[in-house]
Amino acid sequence: MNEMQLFSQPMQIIQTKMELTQCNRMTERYGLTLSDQQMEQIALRRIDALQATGRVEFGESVIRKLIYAFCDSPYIRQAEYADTLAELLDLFHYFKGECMEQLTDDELIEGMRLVFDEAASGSLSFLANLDREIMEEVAQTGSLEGTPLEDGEIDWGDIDG
Amino acid sequence: MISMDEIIVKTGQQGIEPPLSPEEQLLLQQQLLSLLARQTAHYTAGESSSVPVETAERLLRSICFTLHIHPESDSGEYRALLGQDMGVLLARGIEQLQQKLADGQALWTALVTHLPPVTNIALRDTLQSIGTFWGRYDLRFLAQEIPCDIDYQLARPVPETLQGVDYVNRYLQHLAIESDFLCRFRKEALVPLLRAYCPDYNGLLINLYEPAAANAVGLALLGESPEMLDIAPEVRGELEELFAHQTKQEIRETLAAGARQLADMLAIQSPMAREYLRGCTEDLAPRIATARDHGGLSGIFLSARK
Repeated sequence: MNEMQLFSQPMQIIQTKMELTQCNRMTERYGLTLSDQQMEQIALRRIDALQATGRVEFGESVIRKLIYAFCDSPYIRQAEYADTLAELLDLFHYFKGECMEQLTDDELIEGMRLVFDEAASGSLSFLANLDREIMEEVAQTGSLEGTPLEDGEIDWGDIDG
Repeated sequence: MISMDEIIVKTGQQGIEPPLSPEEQLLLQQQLLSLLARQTAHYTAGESSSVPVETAERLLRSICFTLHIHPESDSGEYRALLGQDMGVLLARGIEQLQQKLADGQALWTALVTHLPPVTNIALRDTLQSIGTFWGRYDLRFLAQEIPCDIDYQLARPVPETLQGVDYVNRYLQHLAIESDFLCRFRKEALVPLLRAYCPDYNGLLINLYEPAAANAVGLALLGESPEMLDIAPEVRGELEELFAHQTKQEIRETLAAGARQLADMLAIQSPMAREYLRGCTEDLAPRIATARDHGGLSGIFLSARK
């Protein structure tokens, strides 16, 4: 895809939808697909997420990587797939900035997946409220060991799951 | 492959180009943004799909600095860029920066190995900090930035419009002129003068060239040797008479003549150094015009020895 096409919003939406269409072919084996309307909403959410976090994205969006990383999570169901994806997108860009650009895309996505599955039991609120230092440590080590998440030290009662 | 400068010069030689049309401006901006996308990918080593807007802006400013272009300009001289491979032009620009960096480092090395007989803390700290610039300067991604501390104030400051290695190199050129001038006088002449100018000339942020140049020009105007840099009260009286009834323009012209005489006396041959001395000296004109009517010129032409 020519990078120049990214620099108008309509073209960004078209490009994102094309990426999501390609992802559908892969995720349908897990029972996850997005409708055309849902793709449009996620494409707009991508633009909003970038603006809200003061970021700019060139080239391919991170959405594909997020989908590939989370599509086989036991906590993602078709009914909430679009909303979950949109939320993960917001959280990705949030943590990317909060962790002061110290994490690569791959590190952060793997860290988010690890927390989502093994500490949060699929709770996006848990992920959203996670201290950025803990996220950074998990992402950089690839493990919950040595963090408050290891033995469930974080009080679930405080989190609105 | 032709370089940016050659493109611009060639365009200029072909005559004045009409400004870019809105469509051409858009095309040029798209070329720049495409280059920015590639630079960002290199900057993140492909490990981040996004960067903060501020980072993208810095990277874009670096591109524009390296290519010598203003992204919002509609100057017709940029028409020759349309359709060019901007990546190749950028690479050429980076090569030019590498040469400038080498030139600057050579100048800095010459400066630090031939310091004037008097310095001050700000000058030494600034030279030390500039010494780190050569290794810290990111000519590939952040070429407009100046990663060092420049505290020592020059007699003739470098224009703030200069950026990156251009700023540092111009600063060093000016500093070299000042240092060369000071090296023409003995420490025994400079120290009393500087103490008269500022008792703590070593610790405070003052320029060492200005008081030396002022006194030396004053002496040259009277046909006296500038060697000891001292202007006794009675000698200053002669200068006060010289300027007593002159207009500001006449004072400026007198000072310029004095600068020329001094440059000849000291065998300063560099046109840039002579111009620097002239400009610095002429800057005294407004102060002389004011001071002569309010107590005299003792604050400009200093008596170093009591």
